[in-house]
Amino acid sequence: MSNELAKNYDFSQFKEELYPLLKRQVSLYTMGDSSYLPAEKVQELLESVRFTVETHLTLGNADEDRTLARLFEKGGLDVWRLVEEGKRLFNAAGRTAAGFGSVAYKDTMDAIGGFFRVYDLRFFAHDIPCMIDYPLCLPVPDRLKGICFINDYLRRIILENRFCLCFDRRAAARLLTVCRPDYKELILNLFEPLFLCALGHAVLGRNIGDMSLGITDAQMLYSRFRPWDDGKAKACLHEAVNKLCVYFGLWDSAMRAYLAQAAHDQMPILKSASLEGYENMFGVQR
Amino acid sequence: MENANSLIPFLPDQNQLAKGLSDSNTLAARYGLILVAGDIKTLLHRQQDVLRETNRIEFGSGPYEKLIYALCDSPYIDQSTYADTLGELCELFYRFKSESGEIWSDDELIEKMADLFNGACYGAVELVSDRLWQSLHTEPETIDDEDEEDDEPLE
Repeated sequence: MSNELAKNYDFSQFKEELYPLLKRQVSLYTMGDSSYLPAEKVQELLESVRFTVETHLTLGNADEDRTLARLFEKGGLDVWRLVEEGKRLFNAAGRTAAGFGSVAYKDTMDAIGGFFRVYDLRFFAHDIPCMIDYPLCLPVPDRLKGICFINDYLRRIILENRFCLCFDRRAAARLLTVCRPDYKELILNLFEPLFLCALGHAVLGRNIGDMSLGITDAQMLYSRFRPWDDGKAKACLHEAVNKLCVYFGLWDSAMRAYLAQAAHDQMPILKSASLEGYENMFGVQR
Repeated sequence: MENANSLIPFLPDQNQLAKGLSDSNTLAARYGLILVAGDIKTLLHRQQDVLRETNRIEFGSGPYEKLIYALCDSPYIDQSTYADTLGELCELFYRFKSESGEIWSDDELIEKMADLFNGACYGAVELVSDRLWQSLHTEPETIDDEDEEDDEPLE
């Protein structure tokens, strides 16, 4: 229902109501010092109003009073609640931290910590005033903005961290070094190499915790996916993900869904990669 | 995604603005200054044009009424120059605010413009413009009236 409200909603229907609302926002933003702004700034205020209203509709809390002013007021409260949720997620991310010394990871976490100090939910709620360099295995959708983007990013980071913490820390660091000796200085997702190594073990029916695939293992993986069959590959990966979840005791649906999607996203690479590509992909230790 | 310029006009309701300018005649008439309908239409067009050029959107009535209040008793304005001077000062107001990075509030800028117009610039809008731009690069004290005498007594 909530997504239907958001989908059927057309911002231009509020054209008549928008002017007085933006006028008030301009007055508040300039603290009464000025009654006009550059068009770019007005555009930003407009985007913030839109984001706030859409957040309220998406959360499905719409009541009978659907005037723009009311939606905006309610949306402001919703955004504030999302910020509080974001702070809790940020603390949880800190507790599950698995940066393995990655500079990009640390800088990104520091930046997100700073986000909560500078995020202006009154006037620029759509904005993301921080640099997020550390890439996720499954990136946050581009359509998400403001605190929604941050919260989604943090949820994904927590899932990746929890998975990484399933491994022996030294063995994991060793594997990452095999994959990229300079991984600490690179802007690189660290979950993916660990996940693919574990996935490779699961596909081959090996002990998942070993984290040591050799050249022969890579050849067997290569052969397992040849000739390529979409259905068989999907089923093979699905079974492998299930094995990972059982082995590591990862029972929550969010984690299972994340791992399943991460595996599914590898299919085009598994289909087209060479044998050497498989060796690189699964972190073969020579 | 809707653009602000398509949803919001550069200037609010023109009828309301025109009424505001017409109402200002009540005060200005005491000093022999009147804005007729043609003057008001021209002033609003000039305001809209400069907003478009500086890519700004006005949510209030703009600087006209405050300029009228500040300058209606100016010795350098008479009926023949009234509308044109207001138009020039309005354009100067928006251009200066646009380029100066909002260092002064609307009221502060209008006060400075009025002080310069009535003082050191002897009613010349071009001089007011020059002095304002100069003030961006000098200490605040240097835009005071240069005719003020030194307070220290001569020996």
